[in-house]
Amino acid sequence: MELAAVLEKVKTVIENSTGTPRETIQLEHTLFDELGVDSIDLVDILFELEFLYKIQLKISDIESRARAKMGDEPYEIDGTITPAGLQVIGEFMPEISKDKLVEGLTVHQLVQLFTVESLCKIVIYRIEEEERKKEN
Amino acid sequence: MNLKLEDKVVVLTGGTGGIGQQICADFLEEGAIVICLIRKAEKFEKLKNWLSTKTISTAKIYANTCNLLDANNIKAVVNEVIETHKRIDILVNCAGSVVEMPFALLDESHIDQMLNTNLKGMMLLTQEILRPMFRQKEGAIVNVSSITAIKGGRGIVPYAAAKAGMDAFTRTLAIEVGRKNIRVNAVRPGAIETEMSKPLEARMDKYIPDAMILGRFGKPKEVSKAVLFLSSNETASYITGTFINIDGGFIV
Repeated sequence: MELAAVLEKVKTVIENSTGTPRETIQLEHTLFDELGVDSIDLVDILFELEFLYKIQLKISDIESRARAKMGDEPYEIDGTITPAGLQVIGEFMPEISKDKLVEGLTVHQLVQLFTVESLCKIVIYRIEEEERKKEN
Repeated sequence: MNLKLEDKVVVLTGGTGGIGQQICADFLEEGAIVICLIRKAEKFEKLKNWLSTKTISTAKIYANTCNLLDANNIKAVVNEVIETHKRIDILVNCAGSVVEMPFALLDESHIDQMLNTNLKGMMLLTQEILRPMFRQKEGAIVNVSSITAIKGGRGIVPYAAAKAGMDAFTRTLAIEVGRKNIRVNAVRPGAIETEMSKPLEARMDKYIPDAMILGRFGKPKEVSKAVLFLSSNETASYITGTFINIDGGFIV
Protein backbone atom coordinates (compact mmCIF):
# COMPACT_ATOMS: atom_id res chain seq x y z
CA MET A 1 0.00 0.00 0.00
CA GLU A 2 1.44 3.34 -1.02
CA LEU A 3 1.78 6.19 1.41
CA ALA A 4 0.40 8.70 -1.10
CA ALA A 5 -2.83 6.76 -1.57
CA VAL A 6 -3.38 6.36 2.17
CA LEU A 7 -2.55 10.03 2.70
CA GLU A 8 -5.37 11.12 0.41
CA LYS A 9 -7.92 9.15 2.42
CA VAL A 10 -6.44 10.22 5.74
CA LYS A 11 -6.72 13.88 4.69
CA THR A 12 -10.39 13.40 3.85
CA VAL A 13 -11.09 11.65 7.12
CA ILE A 14 -9.33 14.39 9.12
CA GLU A 15 -11.27 17.04 7.24
CA ASN A 16 -14.57 15.28 7.93
CA SER A 17 -13.75 14.89 11.60
CA THR A 18 -12.22 18.27 12.42
CA GLY A 19 -13.29 20.55 9.61
CA THR A 20 -9.68 21.32 8.68
CA PRO A 21 -9.62 21.78 4.88
CA ARG A 22 -7.82 18.81 3.31
CA GLU A 23 -5.66 21.02 1.07
CA THR A 24 -4.05 22.54 4.17
CA ILE A 25 -3.16 19.17 5.70
CA GLN A 26 0.48 18.18 5.27
CA LEU A 27 2.24 14.90 5.92
CA GLU A 28 4.49 16.48 8.57
CA HIS A 29 1.71 18.20 10.53
CA THR A 30 1.30 16.95 14.08
CA LEU A 31 -2.25 15.79 14.68
CA PHE A 32 -2.78 17.35 18.09
CA ASP A 33 -0.78 20.58 18.09
CA GLU A 34 -0.90 21.64 14.46
CA LEU A 35 -4.20 20.19 13.25
CA GLY A 36 -6.07 20.64 16.51
CA VAL A 37 -7.20 17.02 16.68
CA ASP A 38 -8.32 15.98 20.18
CA SER A 39 -8.72 12.52 21.64
CA ILE A 40 -12.36 12.18 20.53
CA ASP A 41 -11.49 13.35 17.01
CA LEU A 42 -8.77 10.73 16.99
CA VAL A 43 -11.31 8.03 17.91
CA ASP A 44 -13.55 9.33 15.13
CA ILE A 45 -10.65 9.28 12.65
CA LEU A 46 -9.60 5.76 13.62
CA PHE A 47 -13.21 4.44 13.38
CA GLU A 48 -13.56 5.92 9.90
CA LEU A 49 -10.23 4.54 8.69
CA GLU A 50 -11.14 1.13 10.12
CA PHE A 51 -14.37 1.24 8.15
CA LEU A 52 -12.71 2.40 4.92
CA TYR A 53 -9.95 -0.20 4.99
CA LYS A 54 -11.83 -2.98 6.84
CA ILE A 55 -9.10 -3.22 9.46
CA GLN A 56 -8.83 -2.92 13.23
CA LEU A 57 -6.68 0.05 14.19
CA LYS A 58 -4.97 0.65 17.45
CA ILE A 59 -2.93 3.72 18.17
CA SER A 60 -0.85 1.42 20.37
CA ASP A 61 0.27 -0.58 17.31
CA ILE A 62 3.53 1.39 17.27
CA GLU A 63 4.08 0.57 20.92
CA SER A 64 3.37 -3.12 20.28
CA ARG A 65 5.88 -3.18 17.45
CA ALA A 66 8.48 -1.48 19.65
CA ARG A 67 7.89 -3.97 22.45
CA ALA A 68 8.17 -6.88 20.03
CA LYS A 69 11.46 -5.58 18.67
CA MET A 70 12.88 -4.97 22.14
CA GLY A 71 12.20 -8.46 23.44
CA ASP A 72 12.95 -8.62 27.16
CA GLU A 73 14.25 -5.08 27.35
CA PRO A 74 11.64 -2.76 28.88
CA TYR A 75 9.89 -0.30 26.53
CA GLU A 76 8.50 1.75 29.38
CA ILE A 77 8.68 1.89 33.13
CA ASP A 78 5.63 3.25 34.97
CA GLY A 79 4.38 4.86 31.79
CA THR A 80 7.66 6.60 30.93
CA ILE A 81 9.39 5.39 27.79
CA THR A 82 12.91 4.08 28.43
CA PRO A 83 15.91 5.48 26.50
CA ALA A 84 16.05 2.20 24.54
CA GLY A 85 12.33 2.52 23.86
CA LEU A 86 12.83 6.06 22.56
CA GLN A 87 15.54 4.82 20.23
CA VAL A 88 13.28 2.17 18.73
CA ILE A 89 10.44 4.68 18.36
CA GLY A 90 12.88 7.02 16.60
CA GLU A 91 13.69 4.24 14.13
CA PHE A 92 10.06 3.39 13.51
CA MET A 93 8.92 6.98 13.30
CA PRO A 94 11.67 9.17 11.87
CA GLU A 95 8.98 11.72 11.06
CA ILE A 96 8.87 12.67 14.73
CA SER A 97 11.47 15.30 15.48
CA LYS A 98 14.41 13.79 17.42
CA ASP A 99 14.47 16.71 19.83
CA LYS A 100 10.98 15.74 20.98
CA LEU A 101 11.89 12.13 21.72
CA VAL A 102 13.57 13.06 24.97
CA GLU A 103 14.03 11.25 28.25
CA GLY A 104 10.97 11.46 30.48
CA LEU A 105 8.53 11.23 27.56
CA THR A 106 5.48 9.22 28.59
CA VAL A 107 3.49 6.75 26.49
CA HIS A 108 0.58 9.21 26.59
CA GLN A 109 2.74 12.14 25.46
CA LEU A 110 4.10 10.12 22.53
CA VAL A 111 0.63 10.02 20.94
CA GLN A 112 0.57 13.81 21.07
CA LEU A 113 3.64 13.86 18.82
CA PHE A 114 2.08 11.76 16.08
CA THR A 115 2.02 13.36 12.68
CA VAL A 116 -0.22 12.74 9.69
CA GLU A 117 2.56 10.50 8.39
CA SER A 118 2.53 8.49 11.65
CA LEU A 119 -1.17 7.90 11.19
CA CYS A 120 -0.68 6.83 7.57
CA LYS A 121 2.05 4.43 8.65
CA ILE A 122 -0.17 2.88 11.32
CA VAL A 123 -2.83 2.28 8.67
CA ILE A 124 -0.32 0.79 6.23
CA TYR A 125 1.16 -1.41 8.94
CA ARG A 126 -2.28 -2.78 9.82
CA ILE A 127 -3.26 -3.34 6.17
CA GLU A 128 -0.04 -5.25 5.59
CA GLU A 129 -0.56 -7.25 8.77
CA GLU A 130 -4.04 -8.24 7.59
CA GLU A 131 -2.63 -9.23 4.20
CA ARG A 132 0.07 -11.32 5.87
CA LYS A 133 -2.59 -13.05 7.98
CA LYS A 134 -4.62 -13.86 4.88
CA GLU A 135 -1.58 -15.27 3.09
CA ASN A 136 -0.83 -17.54 6.03
CA MET B 1 -46.72 15.53 16.84
CA ASN B 2 -44.67 13.70 14.24
CA LEU B 3 -41.50 12.50 15.94
CA LYS B 4 -39.96 11.77 12.52
CA LEU B 5 -38.79 8.32 13.58
CA GLU B 6 -39.99 6.66 10.37
CA ASP B 7 -37.35 4.16 9.20
CA LYS B 8 -34.91 5.19 11.90
CA VAL B 9 -32.90 2.16 12.93
CA VAL B 10 -33.28 1.46 16.64
CA VAL B 11 -31.23 -1.11 18.52
CA LEU B 12 -32.77 -2.08 21.82
CA THR B 13 -31.83 -4.38 24.68
CA GLY B 14 -34.35 -5.66 27.18
CA GLY B 15 -37.05 -5.51 24.51
CA THR B 16 -38.88 -8.49 25.92
CA GLY B 17 -39.31 -6.99 29.39
CA GLY B 18 -42.32 -5.01 30.58
CA ILE B 19 -40.93 -1.58 29.74
CA GLY B 20 -38.88 -2.80 26.78
CA GLN B 21 -41.82 -4.34 24.91
CA GLN B 22 -43.74 -1.10 25.22
CA ILE B 23 -40.74 0.82 23.86
CA CYS B 24 -40.68 -1.60 20.90
CA ALA B 25 -44.38 -1.06 20.34
CA ASP B 26 -44.10 2.73 20.40
CA PHE B 27 -41.13 2.82 18.01
CA LEU B 28 -42.96 0.48 15.63
CA GLU B 29 -46.03 2.68 15.74
CA GLU B 30 -43.81 5.59 14.72
CA GLY B 31 -42.58 3.58 11.74
CA ALA B 32 -39.09 2.88 13.06
CA ILE B 33 -37.09 -0.28 12.37
CA VAL B 34 -36.49 -2.06 15.67
CA ILE B 35 -33.71 -4.56 16.27
CA CYS B 36 -34.01 -6.36 19.58
CA LEU B 37 -30.87 -7.85 21.01
CA ILE B 38 -32.06 -10.84 22.97
CA ARG B 39 -30.62 -13.79 24.82
CA LYS B 40 -33.22 -16.37 23.88
CA ALA B 41 -34.99 -16.55 20.54
CA GLU B 42 -38.22 -17.92 22.03
CA LYS B 43 -38.73 -14.69 23.96
CA PHE B 44 -38.85 -12.82 20.68
CA GLU B 45 -41.77 -14.94 19.54
CA LYS B 46 -43.59 -14.02 22.73
CA LEU B 47 -42.85 -10.36 22.05
CA LYS B 48 -44.18 -10.60 18.49
CA ASN B 49 -47.33 -12.34 19.76
CA TRP B 50 -47.83 -9.58 22.33
CA LEU B 51 -47.38 -6.92 19.65
CA SER B 52 -49.91 -8.70 17.46
CA THR B 53 -52.46 -8.65 20.28
CA LYS B 54 -52.01 -4.87 20.29
CA THR B 55 -52.55 -4.87 16.50
CA ILE B 56 -49.06 -3.50 15.95
CA SER B 57 -47.35 -4.64 12.77
CA THR B 58 -44.28 -6.79 13.32
CA ALA B 59 -42.99 -6.26 9.79
CA LYS B 60 -40.21 -3.93 10.94
CA ILE B 61 -39.05 -5.68 14.09
CA TYR B 62 -36.07 -8.03 14.05
CA ALA B 63 -34.13 -9.95 16.64
CA ASN B 64 -30.49 -10.84 16.98
CA THR B 65 -29.34 -13.13 19.73
CA CYS B 66 -26.51 -11.48 21.58
CA ASN B 67 -24.49 -12.10 24.71
CA LEU B 68 -24.03 -8.61 26.09
CA LEU B 69 -21.10 -9.72 28.19
CA ASP B 70 -19.10 -10.96 25.23
CA ALA B 71 -17.40 -8.10 23.39
CA ASN B 72 -16.60 -10.26 20.36
CA ASN B 73 -20.18 -11.41 20.07
CA ILE B 74 -21.40 -7.82 20.36
CA LYS B 75 -19.01 -6.73 17.62
CA ALA B 76 -20.26 -9.49 15.31
CA VAL B 77 -23.90 -8.65 15.99
CA VAL B 78 -23.43 -4.91 15.46
CA ASN B 79 -21.59 -5.61 12.20
CA GLU B 80 -24.49 -7.80 11.11
CA VAL B 81 -26.98 -5.04 11.91
CA ILE B 82 -24.92 -2.54 9.93
CA GLU B 83 -24.59 -4.99 7.05
CA THR B 84 -28.36 -5.34 6.89
CA HIS B 85 -29.65 -1.90 7.84
CA LYS B 86 -26.63 0.30 6.94
CA ARG B 87 -26.85 2.48 10.04
CA ILE B 88 -27.89 2.68 13.68
CA ASP B 89 -29.71 5.87 14.62
CA ILE B 90 -30.85 5.10 18.12
CA LEU B 91 -29.66 2.83 20.91
CA VAL B 92 -31.91 2.10 23.87
CA ASN B 93 -30.18 0.31 26.73
CA CYS B 94 -33.11 -1.22 28.57
CA ALA B 95 -31.80 -4.62 29.69
CA GLY B 96 -31.68 -5.01 33.43
CA SER B 97 -32.27 -7.40 36.25
CA VAL B 98 -32.65 -7.22 40.00
CA VAL B 99 -32.32 -9.76 42.78
CA GLU B 100 -34.02 -8.43 45.88
CA MET B 101 -32.13 -9.48 48.94
CA PRO B 102 -30.37 -7.77 51.85
CA PHE B 103 -26.87 -6.87 50.77
CA ALA B 104 -25.29 -8.80 53.62
CA LEU B 105 -26.82 -12.02 52.31
CA LEU B 106 -25.82 -11.67 48.67
CA ASP B 107 -23.11 -13.87 47.33
CA GLU B 108 -20.52 -12.80 44.80
CA SER B 109 -22.41 -14.28 41.85
CA HIS B 110 -25.46 -12.10 42.61
CA ILE B 111 -23.29 -8.99 42.75
CA ASP B 112 -21.55 -9.92 39.51
CA GLN B 113 -24.85 -10.64 37.81
CA MET B 114 -26.34 -7.27 38.73
CA LEU B 115 -23.27 -5.22 37.89
CA ASN B 116 -22.77 -7.12 34.64
CA THR B 117 -26.37 -7.05 33.43
CA ASN B 118 -27.13 -3.51 34.47
CA LEU B 119 -23.82 -1.83 33.77
CA LYS B 120 -21.04 -3.73 32.02
CA GLY B 121 -23.13 -5.16 29.19
CA MET B 122 -24.60 -1.75 28.49
CA MET B 123 -21.11 -0.23 28.33
CA LEU B 124 -19.77 -2.89 25.95
CA LEU B 125 -22.70 -2.53 23.59
CA THR B 126 -22.62 1.27 23.64
CA GLN B 127 -18.89 1.25 22.90
CA GLU B 128 -19.46 -0.83 19.77
CA ILE B 129 -22.47 1.16 18.58
CA LEU B 130 -20.50 4.39 18.88
CA ARG B 131 -18.54 3.26 15.81
CA PRO B 132 -21.40 3.63 13.33
CA MET B 133 -22.69 6.68 15.18
CA PHE B 134 -19.30 8.40 14.90
CA ARG B 135 -19.25 7.62 11.18
CA GLN B 136 -22.80 8.91 10.72
CA LYS B 137 -21.94 12.01 12.78
CA GLU B 138 -25.28 11.48 14.44
CA GLY B 139 -26.91 9.28 17.03
CA ALA B 140 -29.10 9.16 20.10
CA ILE B 141 -28.56 6.90 23.07
CA VAL B 142 -31.20 6.52 25.74
CA ASN B 143 -30.40 4.57 28.87
CA VAL B 144 -33.16 3.15 31.01
CA SER B 145 -31.81 3.81 34.48
CA SER B 146 -33.87 3.72 37.65
CA ILE B 147 -35.04 6.11 40.31
CA THR B 148 -33.06 3.91 42.71
CA ALA B 149 -29.94 5.52 41.26
CA ILE B 150 -30.77 8.61 43.30
CA LYS B 151 -33.09 7.32 46.03
CA GLY B 152 -32.35 3.94 47.44
CA GLY B 153 -34.47 1.23 48.93
CA ARG B 154 -33.87 -1.93 50.86
CA GLY B 155 -32.66 -5.10 49.19
CA ILE B 156 -31.38 -3.56 45.97
CA VAL B 157 -27.90 -2.35 46.85
CA PRO B 158 -25.92 -3.65 43.81
CA TYR B 159 -28.81 -2.83 41.46
CA ALA B 160 -28.98 0.76 42.74
CA ALA B 161 -25.18 1.04 42.58
CA ALA B 162 -25.21 -0.19 38.98
CA LYS B 163 -27.96 2.26 38.02
CA ALA B 164 -26.06 5.11 39.67
CA GLY B 165 -23.12 3.96 37.56
CA MET B 166 -25.35 4.11 34.51
CA ASP B 167 -26.24 7.70 35.39
CA ALA B 168 -22.58 8.65 35.66
CA PHE B 169 -21.93 6.82 32.40
CA THR B 170 -24.73 8.79 30.73
CA ARG B 171 -23.46 12.13 31.96
CA THR B 172 -19.80 11.58 31.14
CA LEU B 173 -20.34 9.89 27.79
CA ALA B 174 -22.59 12.78 26.79
CA ILE B 175 -19.66 15.11 27.43
CA GLU B 176 -17.29 12.95 25.39
CA VAL B 177 -19.39 12.44 22.29
CA GLY B 178 -21.56 15.56 22.17
CA ARG B 179 -19.31 17.32 19.71
CA LYS B 180 -19.81 14.40 17.33
CA ASN B 181 -23.56 15.06 17.39
CA ILE B 182 -24.31 12.02 19.50
CA ARG B 183 -26.77 12.66 22.31
CA VAL B 184 -26.81 10.55 25.47
CA ASN B 185 -29.68 10.75 27.92
CA ALA B 186 -31.49 8.56 30.42
CA VAL B 187 -34.87 7.98 31.94
CA ARG B 188 -35.27 6.97 35.55
CA PRO B 189 -38.44 4.94 36.00
CA GLY B 190 -39.80 4.57 39.51
CA ALA B 191 -42.29 1.84 40.38
CA ILE B 192 -43.76 0.72 37.06
CA GLU B 193 -46.34 -2.04 36.59
CA THR B 194 -44.21 -4.86 35.20
CA GLU B 195 -43.36 -8.45 36.11
CA MET B 196 -40.09 -7.15 37.59
CA SER B 197 -41.93 -4.88 40.02
CA LYS B 198 -44.61 -7.38 41.09
CA PRO B 199 -42.94 -8.22 44.44
CA LEU B 200 -42.58 -4.50 45.15
CA GLU B 201 -46.19 -3.87 44.21
CA ALA B 202 -47.41 -6.55 46.61
CA ARG B 203 -45.32 -5.14 49.45
CA MET B 204 -46.00 -1.47 48.85
CA ASP B 205 -49.69 -1.50 48.09
CA LYS B 206 -50.74 0.27 51.26
CA TYR B 207 -47.83 2.74 51.23
CA ILE B 208 -48.22 3.91 47.68
CA PRO B 209 -50.34 7.00 48.40
CA ASP B 210 -47.64 8.23 50.78
CA ALA B 211 -44.67 7.29 48.65
CA MET B 212 -45.86 8.55 45.29
CA ILE B 213 -47.40 11.97 44.86
CA LEU B 214 -49.57 10.63 42.06
CA GLY B 215 -50.71 7.78 44.30
CA ARG B 216 -50.16 4.89 41.92
CA PHE B 217 -47.64 2.82 40.04
CA GLY B 218 -46.60 4.02 36.62
CA LYS B 219 -47.40 2.27 33.36
CA PRO B 220 -44.78 1.09 30.84
CA LYS B 221 -46.23 3.50 28.29
CA GLU B 222 -45.44 6.40 30.59
CA VAL B 223 -41.78 5.41 30.37
CA SER B 224 -41.68 4.54 26.69
CA LYS B 225 -43.07 7.92 25.67
CA ALA B 226 -40.17 9.63 27.42
CA VAL B 227 -37.71 7.28 25.71
CA LEU B 228 -39.13 8.21 22.31
CA PHE B 229 -39.07 11.89 23.24
CA LEU B 230 -35.35 11.69 24.05
CA SER B 231 -34.65 9.59 20.93
CA SER B 232 -36.23 11.95 18.47
CA ASN B 233 -34.35 14.87 16.95
CA GLU B 234 -37.70 16.57 16.52
CA THR B 235 -38.19 16.82 20.27
CA ALA B 236 -34.77 16.47 21.88
CA SER B 237 -32.15 17.68 19.41
CA TYR B 238 -30.73 20.07 22.03
CA ILE B 239 -30.98 17.70 24.98
CA THR B 240 -28.02 15.64 26.14
CA GLY B 241 -26.56 14.42 29.42
CA THR B 242 -29.89 14.75 31.13
CA PHE B 243 -32.37 12.56 32.99
CA ILE B 244 -36.13 12.34 33.11
CA ASN B 245 -37.56 10.94 36.33
CA ILE B 246 -40.72 8.99 35.66
CA ASP B 247 -41.62 8.18 39.21
CA GLY B 248 -44.99 9.74 40.01
CA GLY B 249 -43.22 12.21 42.26
CA PHE B 250 -41.45 9.57 44.36
CA ILE B 251 -38.32 11.65 44.93
CA VAL B 252 -40.01 14.98 45.56
